[in-house]
Amino acid sequence: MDTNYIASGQEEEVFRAAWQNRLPLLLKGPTGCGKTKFVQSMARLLGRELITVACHEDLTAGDLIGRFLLDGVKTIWQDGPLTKAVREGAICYLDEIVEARADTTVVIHPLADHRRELNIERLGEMIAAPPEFMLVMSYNPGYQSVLKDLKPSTRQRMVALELTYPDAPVEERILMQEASAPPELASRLVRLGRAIRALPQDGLSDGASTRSLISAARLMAAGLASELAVKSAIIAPLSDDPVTSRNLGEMAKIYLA
Amino acid sequence: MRYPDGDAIAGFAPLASAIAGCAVTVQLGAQSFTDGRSITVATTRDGPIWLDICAQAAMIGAGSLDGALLRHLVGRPKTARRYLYLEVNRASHVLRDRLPLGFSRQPVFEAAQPLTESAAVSLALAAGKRALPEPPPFFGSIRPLFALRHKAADAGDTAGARSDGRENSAGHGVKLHAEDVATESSLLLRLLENPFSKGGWLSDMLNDLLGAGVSKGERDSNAAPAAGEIPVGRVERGLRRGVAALLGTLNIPLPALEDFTGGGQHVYPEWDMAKSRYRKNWVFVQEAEPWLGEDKRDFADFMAPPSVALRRQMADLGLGHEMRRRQSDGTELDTGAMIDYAIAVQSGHVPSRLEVYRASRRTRRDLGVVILLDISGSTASQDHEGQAVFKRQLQLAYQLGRTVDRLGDVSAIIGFHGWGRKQMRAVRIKGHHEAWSRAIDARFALLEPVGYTRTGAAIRHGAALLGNIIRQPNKLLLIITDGIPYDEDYELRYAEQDTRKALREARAAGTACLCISVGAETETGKLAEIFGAGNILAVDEPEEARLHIRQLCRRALAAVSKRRYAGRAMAG
Repeated sequence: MDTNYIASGQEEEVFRAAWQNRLPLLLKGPTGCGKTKFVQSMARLLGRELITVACHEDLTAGDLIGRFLLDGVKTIWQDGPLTKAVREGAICYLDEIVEARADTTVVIHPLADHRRELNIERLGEMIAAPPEFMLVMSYNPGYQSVLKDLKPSTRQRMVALELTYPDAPVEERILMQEASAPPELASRLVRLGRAIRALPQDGLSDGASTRSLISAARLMAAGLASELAVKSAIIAPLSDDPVTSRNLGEMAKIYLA
Repeated sequence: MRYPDGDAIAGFAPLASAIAGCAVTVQLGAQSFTDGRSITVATTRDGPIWLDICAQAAMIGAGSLDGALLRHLVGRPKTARRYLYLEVNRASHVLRDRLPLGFSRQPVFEAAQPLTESAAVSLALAAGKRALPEPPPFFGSIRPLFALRHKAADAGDTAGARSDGRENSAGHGVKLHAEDVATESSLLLRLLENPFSKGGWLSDMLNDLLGAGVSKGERDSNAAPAAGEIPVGRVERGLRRGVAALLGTLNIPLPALEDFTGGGQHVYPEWDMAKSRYRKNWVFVQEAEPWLGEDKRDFADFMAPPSVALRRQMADLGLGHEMRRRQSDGTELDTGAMIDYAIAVQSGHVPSRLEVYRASRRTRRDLGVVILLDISGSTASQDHEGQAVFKRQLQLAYQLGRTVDRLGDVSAIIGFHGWGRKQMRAVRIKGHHEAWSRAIDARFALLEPVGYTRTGAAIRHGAALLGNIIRQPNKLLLIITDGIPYDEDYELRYAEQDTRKALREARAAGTACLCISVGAETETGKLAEIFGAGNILAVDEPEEARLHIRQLCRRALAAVSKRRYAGRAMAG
């Protein structure tokens, strides 16, 4: 999707200032509030390539930096995404950084402070990052246990930017832009989304994200009946419990009527 | 849209909760109003009832039911109706982003700005002379006393639900509907009194338990509240003693020592708070087989097998990374495999698979789990839904036990209760070397909630089992209990301190400890004080445990492994 990101605060200014001053950025925010969209949009605005790494528990330092591969009976070195980003002066986006193990995240330490260099032990090489290079990381503070997993030494190297779900008028504009939703439908969906977010969290895996509201509006634009679209895009992903789903469905009917 | 049956109306709870911003239930009644926790919708209303629900929930969400303000509305129905009009209007503006569009578009909300900007201003205006329109029917009504009662109950106790049932059964609800101002006021006076005084739920319960109170009929006929019969400061202690004493002694004959058929006896120290030192060889814990009672519980009906979701949650606990050789991809080249490969290629073969890498994989399962199940007499108590806490604890222990067993962890399940420091029993439900079998199912069915809770000794026993016998790198001790430790010479601060000390010892030895309370009405604050706020999981139903158990277990395991590491670093 090549649409522009609609800012709900001063996040663009912070991002730009951090980039100009070669500071790494940590994006905090609930799932589906637009972190990835924001980074994509900023990379385009700044004219930098964006290299995204989805972090997971099995991600090793080698996965980020690179490794030797076998070519016939010789070995060849293959740069990992982080090395590639440093060499090319790209923006490297480590999505859900806390999912990566602590021993993996330490390789970014020398990149994230004043040194701005990447040490490739296996090659015996040290690459200095060009000024355009930027490290951006995201994590979701909603999952409390992982908050503790992010080492303080990693956190403290970052400029942190907190994103939340946008305010109602902004979120309505987003729905209108991203899913071509008519204003009235956008208002109904946003009200429903905000109501679900206000629900006490028991039984729900998360709140209804902006992303899921967009999906619902898109399904409707594709011709799906509004109740079915909301059920498929918002309610079903939130809960596996049949009673909760049915009650949320009834609630959605009131918001859509 | 009419909802004659209660089930369908209950389905409106998410709508009400979402607007109110807190958990709210919905039921049918004679009039639409809310007490702050539940919304009653009039059965007699024509038109869509969700409008009523939205109006009432919005008042909760916008803070219209503030106790200090509501007090001024008691016995002033006219002011209350004017306040209602102003507050629903204000709430519809404050919460317009999450109210249904259909609600916000009601003609009554046409004004761009509400008349008042806070509940206090609404009250002042409502009490004044300015002419205000009559609220439309879907606004329902405002019943200050109902809301106040809940606020007082919230402030004074955690068992508000208990007081509800009691007052309704005593017929107070009916009196309120009669809008009898005098009754409301006198009720309010009683309400604001000390909850331990005569007529308070706590003293009611205590009297019921000890059989010491006057009968309910007598008391209800006695309109003027008398002074408290029980000195307040001692009530909590007295209650705990009373409950434990009754439950501990009523349904059990003290077991004779030869009844024990189990294994060895263990001796543990106990922390003497007053002297700040251990009492050596103080508690005697006897390993025992489950009690062979007369009536075997029919087991099948409530022991649901553990859900896949729970297994998924527990699946990656205690998984360790280990370097695997000869992988098809990986971080490093595996030199041995490389040499084999090079030889094969040089001699003209091309191996079909290129497994020459070393990779770190999370495969090792190195978790030892001991589940300590509180089977003391106090767990036989019923919660507000009439379900025994014991039964739920059993269900949870069963599900957790089966789950960790199926995942391949070394696990043991021990029931604990006792009669003083010389007769603690550790009932073997599942031994750590045992595979899951019908015999284990059968042992669950034999358990009986009797005796007292000497939590510190139980924790020491579980931790010793994990540390000395199971000896896995990751140790997890799950304590399923209804809360407060109590035994002979083991209560209050002393018991709490000893339990805390036992937990500290266990954690220092690298055992992650987690307390799970299910359906118990113990104050979680107390449990948090003993176990640490991050180490308790209080749920109403066994199934709810799966939502948080993974996070808590992981955090607890991570915390002790850090400690272990720090300890080692210091030693080195």
